Amino acid sequence: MKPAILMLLLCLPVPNGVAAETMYVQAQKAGVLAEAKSGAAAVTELARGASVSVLEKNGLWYKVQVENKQGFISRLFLSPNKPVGAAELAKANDVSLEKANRRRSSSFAATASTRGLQADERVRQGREMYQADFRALQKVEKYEIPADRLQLFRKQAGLE
Amino acid sequence: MNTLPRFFALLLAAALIGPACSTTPDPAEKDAMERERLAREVDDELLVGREIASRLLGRFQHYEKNRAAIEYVNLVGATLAAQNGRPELRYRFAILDSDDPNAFACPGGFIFVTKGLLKLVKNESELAGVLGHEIAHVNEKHMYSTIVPKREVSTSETFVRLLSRGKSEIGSNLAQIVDNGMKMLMESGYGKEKEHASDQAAALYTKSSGYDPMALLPVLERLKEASKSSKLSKTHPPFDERTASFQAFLKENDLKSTLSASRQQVMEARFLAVLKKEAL
Ligand SMILES: [Zn+2]
Repeated sequence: MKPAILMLLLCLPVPNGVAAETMYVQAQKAGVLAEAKSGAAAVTELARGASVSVLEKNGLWYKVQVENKQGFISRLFLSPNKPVGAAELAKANDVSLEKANRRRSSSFAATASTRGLQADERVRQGREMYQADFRALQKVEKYEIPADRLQLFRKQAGLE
Repeated sequence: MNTLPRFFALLLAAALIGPACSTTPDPAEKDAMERERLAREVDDELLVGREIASRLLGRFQHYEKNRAAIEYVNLVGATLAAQNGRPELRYRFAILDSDDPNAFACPGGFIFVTKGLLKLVKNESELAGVLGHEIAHVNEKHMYSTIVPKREVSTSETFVRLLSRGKSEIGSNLAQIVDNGMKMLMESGYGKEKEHASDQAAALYTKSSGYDPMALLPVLERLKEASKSSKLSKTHPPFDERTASFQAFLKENDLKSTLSASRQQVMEARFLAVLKKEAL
C-alpha cells in the first residue's frame, strides 16, 4: 500500500466503539422521562440539537444520560445525525427544484433506456402501470404555508 | 468505479487532508462531511420520492378545488412535522381526488390523503393521527429502506465519494425502484410490523404536538368498516389486529386523551368550518 493511502486511512475518523453512542434530539423539544413509557413524568426537557449518551436500547425507548441525569426518551425523537434544517441543507448543497428536475429526467431516461424504453412509452405499452404527473407534483412542492399563519394556527389551539 | 481513477482520488484526498489531520479531525470539518453525507442521502430519497409521488398524482387526481381544505391539511401536517419531523426534510401535504378513504407516504416527505379520508375523520386530532402515521412511514424510511438496497460502503469509499460528490446509491436502478415503491403503495403494503410501528409513532407524535394520542383508534374502527367495500384491506393488515395492538400500546404507555374543553372547542370549530362533508 502506498504511504499516502496508508496515511489517509490512518487519518480517517475512527468510530469510538467503546464510548456510549451519542445521539441528537431531532424534535423541537422532547422529554427525558422517568420511566420507559410516554405517560411517565419528565426528568428534564431537551431542545432540538441537544446530545444524549445512549446507555441502553430497548425497542422504542432508549435509556440515556444527559449531564448528570438519566432517563428514557423515544428513539423516534433521536438520530445519530446532528439536526440540519432543510433550508440550510439545500443552501449548503444547492439542492434546488430545478436541479432535482434535471437529475430526474437524466437519471430516469437513463434507466428507462437501459430497458430499451422511455417512461411514457413504457406506460403506453403497459410496461409501467402509472403515468407520472409532474406538473401536479410541482404544484404540491410550490405550495407553502406562511410561517405566521402556522404560528397562529398552533397558538389558537394550544399546540406545540 | 475503476481502480485507476479511484486510486488517484485517494491520492488527492490524502494530499488534501494530510496536513490537517495529523491529530484528530477538526470537528467543524467533520460536521461539514456529515452534512454532505446527509445531503446526498436526502437527495436520493427525494429523487425516488418525487417519482413515486408524481405517479400517485397521476393515478388519482390532485384535488385542488377546496383551497381551505388544502390549507387545513397543510396546517395540521406542518404542526406535526415541526415537532416530530426529520429536520432535514420539507414535508408536503396534498389531497387526492378519490372517495376511497386512504393515505399515502412517499420517501422524502410527500404525504397524501384522499378526499374520502377527510370525510371519514371526525375531528382535528383524528386527522393528526392519520398524518402522524404517514409521517412515521417517511421518518422511519419504511418504504425507502425496502426498495433501495443499502449498499455497504467502506469508509475510504465514502470519503472518495464525498470528495467527488460522486454517484448516488440509486444508480441505474431508478425505474425498478419506483415500480417497487408503487407496488408497495397500491398492492402489497408495508406489512404488519411497519403499520403497527407507525400507529405507535402516531400516538407519540400527536401527543408531543398537543393532540389527542388516542384519536387514531376510532379512525381505525371506521377504516375497518370502510375496508369491507374498498381496496384498502389489500394493502393494510387486518384492522382487528391493528386496533388490538394499538390499544395495548396506549395502555402500556399510559396514553390518554387530555385535551381541555376549551382547546377541543377551538379545534372543533375550525374543523367543522373547513371539513364539512358537503364542502369536499
Ligand atoms: Zn401505513
